[in-house]
Formats: sequence, C-alpha cells, structure tokens
Amino acid sequence: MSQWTVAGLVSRVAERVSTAGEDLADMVSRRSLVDDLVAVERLQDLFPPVEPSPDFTESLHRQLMAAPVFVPAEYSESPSATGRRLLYGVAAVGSLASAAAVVAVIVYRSRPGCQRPAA
Amino acid sequence: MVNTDPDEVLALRARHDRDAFGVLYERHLRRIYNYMYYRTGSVADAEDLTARTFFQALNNLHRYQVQGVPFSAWLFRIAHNLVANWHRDTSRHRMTSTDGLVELASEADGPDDSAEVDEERRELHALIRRLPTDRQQLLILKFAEQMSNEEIAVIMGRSEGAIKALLHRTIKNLRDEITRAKREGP
Repeated sequence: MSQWTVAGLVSRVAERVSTAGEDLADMVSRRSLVDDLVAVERLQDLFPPVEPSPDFTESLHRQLMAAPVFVPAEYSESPSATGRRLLYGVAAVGSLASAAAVVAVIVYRSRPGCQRPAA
Repeated sequence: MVNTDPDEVLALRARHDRDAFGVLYERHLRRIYNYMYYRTGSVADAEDLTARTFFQALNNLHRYQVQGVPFSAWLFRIAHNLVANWHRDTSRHRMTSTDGLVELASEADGPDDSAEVDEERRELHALIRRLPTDRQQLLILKFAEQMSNEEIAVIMGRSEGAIKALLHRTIKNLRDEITRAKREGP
C-alpha cells in the first residue's frame, strides 16, 4: 500500500473518530428510518387487493335495485304534503292582501278631504 | 356509457333514482369489500357486511349531507360502524384465522415465495389482530385501501395530524413487536 493511500485512510478514520457523536446519532436515526420503511414495505405486501366474486357482485346489485326503501315521513315529499304547502302559501298571500286592503281603506278615509256619506 | 357525475350529485339523485345508486354501488363495491375482507379475514363475513353496508346506505341516503363529508367517507363510516358492531357482538376478532389472508398474499407473490415468508406474514397478521381496533382500521385504510391521511381522518373523525401521529406510533409499535418476536424465537 503506498504511503499516499495510508495517509488518506488515516485521515478518513481520524475524521470519523472526531465526529463519532454526530455520526452515531445519525446512524441511529437512519437505522430507525430504514426499519420504518421496511415495516411499511412489509405492510404493503401484506394487503394485496381482493375482488368480490362476480356472482356476489351481480346478486347484490340485483337485490339493491329491487329493494324497497323505507324513508321516514319527515323526509318524504308526498303529493299531499306539497299540496298542503301550496295551500298555506296561498292563504298567507291572501291574508297579507286583505290586511293591505284594510290599511288602504283606513288611510283613504282618514284623509282631510274625504267626506263620509250623509246618513 | 360511463357515468362521470361526482358521487355527491349521484347520491342526491339516488334518493329517487335507483339507477344512480347502481352507479355508486359499482364505483365503491371493491373498496368496501376489500376493507371488510381485511377487517374480518373471511369471504363469507366480508360479503355479508358489504351487503349490509350498501343496504344501510340505500336506506339512509336522505340523511346524507352533500356539504358534510365526501360520499366515500360517509360509506366507509357506515362500513366501519357495522364491522365494529360485528366484532363487539361476536368477539370473533381474537379467533379470526389469518390463513386465508396469508394464502392470498402468497398467490400475489407467485410460487417462488418461501414458507419462511409465509410464516412471517402469518406472524405479522397475528400481531395486527392483537392491535386495538382503531389501529387495525388505520392500517387497513392506509395499506389495503391506499388512502391518504386526509381521507382517513374524515372517516375516523380525527384530525389529519392525529392520524399521522397514530400511524407513526402504530408502525413503531409493530416494528418493536417484530423485533421482540424475532429475538424470542419460535
């Protein structure tokens, strides 16, 4: 081994020794990271995707398409409920119109120039 | 023709239109089945719980709020609740065989895989089955369903940071268990 090579080797070892503390900490955290990655890789291998059988897929699809669905009354929009809402709406508009007419008559009659018909 | 409408639009339409529900079923069946299979370890139970998930979704579509969570997360919540009840009612999670799961992984690898690898997988499945159910669910959503931490957070009702921390703790825990099992030997 040449003198140059030995000197280089000694210098590298010296450098390693002088920074041993940092290196060790680094090595430990790198080791932990590698272990984590190995664990993750193993976990990924552990769960290959599974497919349901075509028979099951078909049969469940058929059942779902044919199943009656129970929807609670408060969520169902029955025609009678819609009709009732329309009726309430018309009644509300009518009441407002009546109230407005009464107010208009009162205002009209209370004008100074407005004469009441003689009895 | 393939329907490209977003899940949320289909979910609203599906309240009155069964075909729209059929599209949702086709989109999500494989993922729900996959999840159920790895949560129960059996084809029969996975089929039963998958069917129940879709029937429950169909009957509760009127409760689904578009502004709330994505449809897939809503469906997975139903699946999670059903499988949690299944575990609670039957206490089968301690007895579930991992043989089917290991065979499945071996088939995926091909015939060159050694018995030693199968044994390792069996041990790993056994270790996972001993974890608390929320950690089992997390691992399955992450590694079987390939979901992001954000999606998992919505399904499990936790923050994304909490999921990240739980995942880190779970992997570390598993790693330690594997090391301990190796040290103790057969």
